[in-house]
Amino acid sequence: MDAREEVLARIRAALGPRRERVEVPRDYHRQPPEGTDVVALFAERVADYRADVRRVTAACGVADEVGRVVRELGIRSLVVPVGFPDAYLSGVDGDGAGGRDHVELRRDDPPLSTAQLDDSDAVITECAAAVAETGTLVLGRDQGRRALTLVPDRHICVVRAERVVGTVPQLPAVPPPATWVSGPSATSDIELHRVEGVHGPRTLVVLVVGC
Amino acid sequence: MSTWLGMPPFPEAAREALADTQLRANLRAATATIRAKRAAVVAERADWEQLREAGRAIKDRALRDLDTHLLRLEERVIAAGGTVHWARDAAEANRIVIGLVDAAGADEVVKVKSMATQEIELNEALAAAGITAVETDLAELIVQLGHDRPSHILVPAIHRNRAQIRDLFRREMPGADPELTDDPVELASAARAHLRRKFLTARVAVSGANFAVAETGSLVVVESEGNGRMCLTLPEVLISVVGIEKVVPTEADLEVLLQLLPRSATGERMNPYTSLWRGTTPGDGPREFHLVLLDNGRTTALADEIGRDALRCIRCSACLNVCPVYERTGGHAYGSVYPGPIGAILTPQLRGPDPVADSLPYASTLCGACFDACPVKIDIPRALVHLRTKVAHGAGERAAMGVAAWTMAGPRRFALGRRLAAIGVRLARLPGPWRKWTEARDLPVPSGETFREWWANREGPSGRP
Ligand code: SF4
Repeated sequence: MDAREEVLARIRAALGPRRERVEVPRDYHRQPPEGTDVVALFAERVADYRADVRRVTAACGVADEVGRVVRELGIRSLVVPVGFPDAYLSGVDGDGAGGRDHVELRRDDPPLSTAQLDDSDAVITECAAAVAETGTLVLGRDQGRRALTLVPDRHICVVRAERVVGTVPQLPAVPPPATWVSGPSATSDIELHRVEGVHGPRTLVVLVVGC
Repeated sequence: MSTWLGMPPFPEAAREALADTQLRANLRAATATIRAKRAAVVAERADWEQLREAGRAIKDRALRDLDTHLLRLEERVIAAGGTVHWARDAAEANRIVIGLVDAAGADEVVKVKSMATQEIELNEALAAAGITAVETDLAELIVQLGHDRPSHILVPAIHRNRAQIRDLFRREMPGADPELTDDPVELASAARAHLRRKFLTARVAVSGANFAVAETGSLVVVESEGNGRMCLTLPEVLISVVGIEKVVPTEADLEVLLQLLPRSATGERMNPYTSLWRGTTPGDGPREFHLVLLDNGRTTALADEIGRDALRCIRCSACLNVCPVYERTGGHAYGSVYPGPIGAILTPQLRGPDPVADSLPYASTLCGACFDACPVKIDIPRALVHLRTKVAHGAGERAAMGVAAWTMAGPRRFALGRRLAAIGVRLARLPGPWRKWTEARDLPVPSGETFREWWANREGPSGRP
């Protein structure tokens, strides 16, 4: 008998012929408490993880805010995944003539090498969905390859308010590969205190657009 | 990392651990911190009990039809471009992994912390085959640099404080700043710099998985630091060694388990990073994915109608953090990769009879705190009592069981008495081998004082040991 057959045979022997049917009770909460402002809650919960959260009420304000973040953080090279809206980048001096504030936009097309990512100051993406209750961003395939949001040290994420749901059970299906991000990279390994910044981006800036 | 072989049985190991006051101070501080954090985030969820009940049922549903779900998982992983291997035991799993690393032509692998690979002592097997395993989890790195053993499921270096970690980094980490301070932020940065080159150049990664979804073939790794994402994303070949009990039937099951796990584990609403992947994805991540499904004693546990509850465990370590015995002895005393209350019921079942494993079901006062904390409602006291009847045959052990029941007097006496009575335990007051356990503490339990009272007194402001 090969290993597969043997493990399966052991399982069948262990369970016996009459199997108990187990129903999963799903009476846990699917909705957030009544009257919850999910967008405000999301902003508060992400900030709890010491992410830098900024609210932008109108879509037209996004580009200005992105430009401001890029300047404030002193970003010189910004990774941009395929499909990221160009309109959000108009406040970044990306196509200028290489002056003092020049920011190099590094589009992942053709795919950037890992060394290029390592040498980039930041990445900017959207998210597929977000969860208010846990302050979680869900990144899917539309947000680009997983390495893009992992290797650069800063991640700027633009979150459209309509993509924010209240609870984990309300999340829409996001086909894998997917990454749930709740705050910047952190560790609790030293005396169980949360310390931001180990291997993933040490700075997470979340721009919440709309209300 | 040294192996667990040749570890003394629990009472002797516990006595050594208790003599180490630094260890106990580190543990007390750390477990107190985590208990408070967990309590706060659990209290936030009005539906916590419903979530626990759903979590219990999800895992039971998976286990009651384990063969069906594993076959489905296998089919989906293969359909998504992965390869599935089956391993009856540790040696077989290690052989498979070594073969895959050899085939990739690599002599070094990066690893993301995984209980399953610790259980099978994969690092030692790789070393014997000339392959270096680089642990990338901060705590595992601390353990590896210190030539030490992990002492906690989730925070393997919980027994080390920041000053000890600083000293270790200065001494053992190539290129570490000799001026490195004990500020956790600086220590984390040092680890980041140390491992970055490894991540960017590694060709093979080895991981475990927290969950594997039968319906879709998705694997899930829950982590904090981003080292998991590095391992799962950057290398060309990914090998995941996963216990067969990690399978869950449906994607919807994750909405429960991913709420239960982080709150129970690190006391966070959500952990920083959760990765979900399915086979391989062209242009994103490894081009080869291997899933190694590991039995290694799990089917033996499955055959035991009470013992099988231990297979529901999602390795959150909440039971360790609330356990008065664990808090005093630390994880090493359990002589197993699975310490604390869950280790006391899992190790004897996975490993079979040996002096360490046989002593573990006695490493408890049956106070029941672990059961209350467990997000998948494993009745650890019930399993402990049951396993005592399986591992022990002498009159002494039976007496020990009685004493354990006696120490339980107090607020829980009634409930526990009923529970014990229901399974036919005779109450007795004779110490037997239990004496070893009381000796292993720095003060004996005065007669007439319950464990709970004794415990409360030990924690009093003037009574801190
Ligand atoms: S037994 Fe329960 S509390 Fe303990 S580690 Fe497993 S899931 Fe967590």
